[in-house]
Amino acid sequence: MLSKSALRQISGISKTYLMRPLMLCALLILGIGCAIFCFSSRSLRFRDSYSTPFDQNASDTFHDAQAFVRWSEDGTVHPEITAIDFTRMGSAIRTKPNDLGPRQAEVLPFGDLEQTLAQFPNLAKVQFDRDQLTQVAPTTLAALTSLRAISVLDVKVTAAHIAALSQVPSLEWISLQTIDLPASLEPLSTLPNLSSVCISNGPLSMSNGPMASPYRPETLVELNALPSLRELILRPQYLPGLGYFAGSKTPDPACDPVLKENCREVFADSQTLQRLWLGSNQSDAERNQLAVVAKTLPHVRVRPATYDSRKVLESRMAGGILMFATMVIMLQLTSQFSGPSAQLIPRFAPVHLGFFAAFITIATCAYALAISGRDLSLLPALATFASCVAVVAILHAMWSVVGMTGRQYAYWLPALIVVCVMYHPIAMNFAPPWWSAILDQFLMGVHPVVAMLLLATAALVLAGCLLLFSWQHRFWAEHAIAPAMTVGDLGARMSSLAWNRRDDRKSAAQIGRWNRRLQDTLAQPRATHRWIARMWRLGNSPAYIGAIMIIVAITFSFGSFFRVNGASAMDHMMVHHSVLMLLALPMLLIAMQCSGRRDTLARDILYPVARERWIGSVFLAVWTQLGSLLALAFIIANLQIGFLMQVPTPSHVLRGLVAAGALSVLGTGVILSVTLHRGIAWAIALGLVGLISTICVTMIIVDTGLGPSGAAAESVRQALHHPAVLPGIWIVAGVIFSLAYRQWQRTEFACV
Amino acid sequence: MNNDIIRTSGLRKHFGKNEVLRGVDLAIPRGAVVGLLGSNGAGKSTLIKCLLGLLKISAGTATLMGEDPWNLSAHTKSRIGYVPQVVHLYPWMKVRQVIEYTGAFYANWDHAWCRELLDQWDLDGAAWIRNLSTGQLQRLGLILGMGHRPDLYLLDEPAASLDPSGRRSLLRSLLEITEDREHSILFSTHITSDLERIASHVAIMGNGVIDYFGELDELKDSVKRIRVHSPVDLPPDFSVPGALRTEINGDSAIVAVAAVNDEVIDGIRDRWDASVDVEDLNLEDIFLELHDAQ
Amino acid sequence: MSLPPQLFRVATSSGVPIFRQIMDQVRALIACGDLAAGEMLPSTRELARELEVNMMTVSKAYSRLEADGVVERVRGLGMRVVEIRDTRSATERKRDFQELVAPALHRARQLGLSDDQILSVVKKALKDSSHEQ
Repeated sequence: MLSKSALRQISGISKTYLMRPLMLCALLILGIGCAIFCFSSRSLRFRDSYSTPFDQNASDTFHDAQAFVRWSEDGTVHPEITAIDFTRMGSAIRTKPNDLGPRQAEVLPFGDLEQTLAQFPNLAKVQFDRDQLTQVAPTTLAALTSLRAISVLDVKVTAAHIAALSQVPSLEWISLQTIDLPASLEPLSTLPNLSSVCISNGPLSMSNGPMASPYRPETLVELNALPSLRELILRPQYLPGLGYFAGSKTPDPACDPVLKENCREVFADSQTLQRLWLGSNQSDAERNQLAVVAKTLPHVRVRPATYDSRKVLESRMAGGILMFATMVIMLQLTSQFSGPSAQLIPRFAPVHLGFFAAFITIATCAYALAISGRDLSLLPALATFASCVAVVAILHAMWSVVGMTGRQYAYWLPALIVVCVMYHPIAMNFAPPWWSAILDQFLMGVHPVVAMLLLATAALVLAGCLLLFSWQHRFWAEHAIAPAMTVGDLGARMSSLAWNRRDDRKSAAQIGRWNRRLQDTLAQPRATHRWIARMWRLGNSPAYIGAIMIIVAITFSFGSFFRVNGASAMDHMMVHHSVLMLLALPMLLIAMQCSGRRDTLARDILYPVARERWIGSVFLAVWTQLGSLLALAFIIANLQIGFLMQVPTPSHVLRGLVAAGALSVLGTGVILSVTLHRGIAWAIALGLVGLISTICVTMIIVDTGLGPSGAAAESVRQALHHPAVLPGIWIVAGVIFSLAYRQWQRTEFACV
Repeated sequence: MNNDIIRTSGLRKHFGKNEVLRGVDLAIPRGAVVGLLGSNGAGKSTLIKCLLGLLKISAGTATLMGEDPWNLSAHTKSRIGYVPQVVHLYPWMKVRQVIEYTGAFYANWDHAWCRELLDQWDLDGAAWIRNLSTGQLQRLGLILGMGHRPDLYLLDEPAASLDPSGRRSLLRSLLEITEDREHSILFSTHITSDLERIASHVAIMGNGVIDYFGELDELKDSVKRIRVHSPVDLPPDFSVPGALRTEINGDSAIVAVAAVNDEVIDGIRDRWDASVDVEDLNLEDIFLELHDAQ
Repeated sequence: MSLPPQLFRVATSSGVPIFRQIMDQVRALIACGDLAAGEMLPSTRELARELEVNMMTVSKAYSRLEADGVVERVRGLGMRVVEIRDTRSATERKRDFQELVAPALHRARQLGLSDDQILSVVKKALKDSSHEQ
């Protein structure tokens, strides 16, 4: 079915895509995403905003269970070990086979814990798993003179733990990860060097007994009494109902507002406390309370213990969409549907770039606003908007500048920046603490300042780029904004044109004239203001812009139909919106591009190609473009689903793939049919068909339904799993495709 | 049949209720330079577009180089050059780029000739398409249609937007093309002075039909204006066989006659005993006489 | 060798077909002596280029002239003016000339010239033309 020339055409079109540096960036990002995907099958957890001694250099923390057991048996001394992490040894040890009963297998290695630690004289940090601390002989602990930091992860921290801890005079850092702390912390005041205490959530217990909250006021008072405490981290995990287990009628101290209130009272008179990491700042209320605490403790730096994960998510989503959008712009610039023997693919489209940059910016900002829900107040919303615009502008300008230098590897620079934007939560794990402090500052809500800074930087960068090339020939500078071409490219092109004409005298005269013109331009004073405006104006008619606005508004306001119930529903909403945009954008852009070629169809058909073959190649080219963009969108969508919800199963992915394939066929039919019709009514009708199918395909890819209530959503989802749905979509796609094909076969192109 | 490069028979085309072509019969031999003359709205553009397959024929038949216009083969299309009345190009390209882009489609594109034409017609290769004037666009359209040296040229009002020097340059180029008599040209125009020099045949079109098709010289030889002076007042039933238009002023009359020969003249002399002066008409006058006669 | 094509002029907007104009001009050039017997006419291509008309028109003119016997085709070289050999009787030829003379005499009478003056003018003209030849 596919002839040799058709294969050549497909390979030509695909090569155009793959040769673009943008595609290489996209592949890089996908590679990173997939790599992360492979190593972890859970949703990502965001890093805590504070740093502990246990964060750094996880590589030299000793956690080899089998080696530990061996050493504990043979008693060798290991001065090179400075950090041990028992929490990571647990599972390895449990899988060790032995002829005693399973319970004994658990206990066996740790029976030696009493003296074993003495084999590591330089031990500085140790992280204990359940019950282990109490098994270590106090003298052993006291003998470890370098021991600075201890972390205890246990269901219940008893007086035995505290007593053990208080035996270590060199201790500077204590981390208690538990939800039940009945013991008094008073013995810890004997430790002269204890400067940091961290209390965070621990494992759940199965017991029915009452629990003592580690955050109750008495504990806080005891913490306040510690003589040299400089840094305190309180990171509760609020589990409603736990307080009731204790039979208490008072509100659970781990509840965020209660905790903040208590801290405010207790630490108001603290002499030594310098840094306090307290609770969370997920909502405005929480942020306000934290601010109140900060005001009450003027000498203490008060920060939340967790990141505002939603904001981080927002920026990551925006970054992802941005990246995709930039990708699509570049693809649009380098592609068109062309006849079978066209060799030249025009790359000069500054006007198109301007238009689509504006569109993508608006869409991105609308999207960022949409996913943040409607509880943003106006000023932060504008700030978000501004920062999105600024980020888009910066990235585009950087891309242009970098691209123009022509250095082969410089194209990675903007991509790396976007990668950082997208993946910085992961990167936080490896970042130094001062960076997290800065980011914390950003996320505390000083959006407007940062946004203004970003905008100013963007403007400066843009101006710099434009001025940088103002001395160049105007022709070069205007083309430089189309990032697909570098200065070197351009120069080579100009000189090759000149080279081709070297033979006749006329050409030599023309080359001379061109050189002279170039010299004149270089010599003349810069008249940059005119062409700066020209390069960034929107070239397309208001009708197109209006249509885009309407579509964006519809997509944006879709969310108001659906009520959000809980965090997981929010995730679903975000993913839905995101995938919808990812699928709709390529179709929209290719439609724009095709309708731009409407007027030249009458020329195209008169090129030396038979009518049938030409129509076939048009459909093939559009389908190839749409298909590759949708494939990219599909991959990104599944990555997002994996991060935010759960890893999709193979059958889920397969269904999504089949649906996306149908969408590409349907999209081709819709786009090419609309290209021929000038009537608005037809375009709207087909557009609705396209939109509805895109929504259905989105729901299939994300595999959740949407509806006014949870039950309705679930029923929609079940309906989509009906075996007739996928074939149905393919049938609709096929029908529309063949209708469009027949329409093209019958059209009189002089009337288009 | 073999020698006719374009042949139509009873060609009809209607747009909805509006019938534009009402039975066009045409047979253009190879090597002819045919001027398609007609007033605005006569259907000249429609005819050319039907011949190229840009419009679908409602009734009748047509062949272009022996093929059905709706399904022209790639080889035939490479031998045809079409220059439309309004040239649509991408505004963001430059002149040189458009020429190279178009040239990439044809195997035998003559780049040297295009450069010559650019110089000759005073077009700047580095100008943006969106900045070109109508005349410059028309000239560019001509280059794009002619660059592959086709055997058949179909030009739709090629000189309409050109200034006199542009028109002269165009005629010169077309004359160069037709020197070897292998190339055929069909161009539509309503400016008759273009035709006089270059056309070998003329097709006069009115109301969707071809009123006259034949050699230009024959047309000029046969359509003449006759002044008749008689000693007495001419009767109101004065008529001349084959007259297109008769104007009687007392004892003299002016008659436009379609087919003049000695017989007709002698007949007038004898019958009305009048003196006869035969006046030559140029193409514009002929066209007006034929047109007014409708 | 051949006649320069610049000697020809055509008016495209006149009612006379261009090929007929060319024919008439060739005949006129022969009549006034600018084109002598044995001289070559400009080639079709040259003349067409100079006049900016269709080459077919020029070749049609030349073919008609050839058919009328005014010029003859020389293979490889072009068109050559034919030697004019008038085969009519002396009486007929004299009558031809008489027709030409009549209007000149009429004009001379209007100028008030006497017969002797007329004759002296004619004699002088004859002497001049024989000198030229």
